[in-house]
Amino acid sequence: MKVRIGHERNTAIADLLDRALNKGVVLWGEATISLAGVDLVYVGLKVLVSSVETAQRMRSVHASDVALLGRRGA
Amino acid sequence: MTMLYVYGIVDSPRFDRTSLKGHDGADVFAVPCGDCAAVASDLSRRTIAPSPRSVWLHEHVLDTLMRRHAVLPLRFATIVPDAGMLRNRLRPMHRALAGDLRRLRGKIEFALRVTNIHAGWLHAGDAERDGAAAQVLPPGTRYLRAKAERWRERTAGEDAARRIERELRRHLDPVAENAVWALATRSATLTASYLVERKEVSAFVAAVVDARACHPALDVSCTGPWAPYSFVTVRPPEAW
Repeated sequence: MKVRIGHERNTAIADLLDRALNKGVVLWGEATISLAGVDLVYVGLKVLVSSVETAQRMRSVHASDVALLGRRGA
Repeated sequence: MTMLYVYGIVDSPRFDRTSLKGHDGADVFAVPCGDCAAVASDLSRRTIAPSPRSVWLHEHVLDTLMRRHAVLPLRFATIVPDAGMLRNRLRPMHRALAGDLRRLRGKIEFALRVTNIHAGWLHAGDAERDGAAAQVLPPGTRYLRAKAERWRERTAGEDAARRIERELRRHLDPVAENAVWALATRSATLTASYLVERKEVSAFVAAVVDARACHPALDVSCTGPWAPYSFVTVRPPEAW
């Protein structure tokens, strides 16, 4: 069960995006572009488009998904 | 063309969650590599959109496996053509992967976010007073004063953030294994990743509640547990 303390509506998904899109083990150091519809370009290990920008874009596009996740994760 | 979507690395060549489903409802399976394994599922496309649903699914697979195994999370959207290529990629990283698996066994990550730290940064009265006085100054002087003021505000903000970090760390660090803090100056947000032993989760949550109670002016949020994304140290061979 996930713990959420003092979070706003989208804090959990923002925290997860910060991690899943920017951190974790990277198998290829160069040109990992497997994300459909998002201009994520890696040069070496540096992400040029931050997950925060990605999250903001996603919030507008996938508002219904966020609402669904809020129910699932509650 | 069927690809492999890879979720993470586990500390065993196999796992018994045959009912675990990944993207598109595909079965999750192990791709053994030495004494560990990559966790993967078939994917009938070459890309995947990072929707909240798909990113949560990535995390759900890792979260399920973490109950029985040490798990290293892979970055979302790691997709490879086949198991052979995946093994070729993992082989030279094996020792480093095994080291991280040993170090992170039984530990999970919490995310901390402090979002109103700029409240004490700006001295609005000073800014207004200076602004009125500045109207009579030459443009060059006004420019330099404004630049100096921005620098002063930024420095004061960073000092305040460091103080807040020290205060919160006093509550949280004693019950955590490791922590990484960062300040996003543009959004005036302090973020932290905490590595916590599973048996210390209750103590950590209590410490967060305690910290919030001791600092009611701060807006502190905490989410987790997550897979330990922020604490993997292994790098791909070309980055060595």
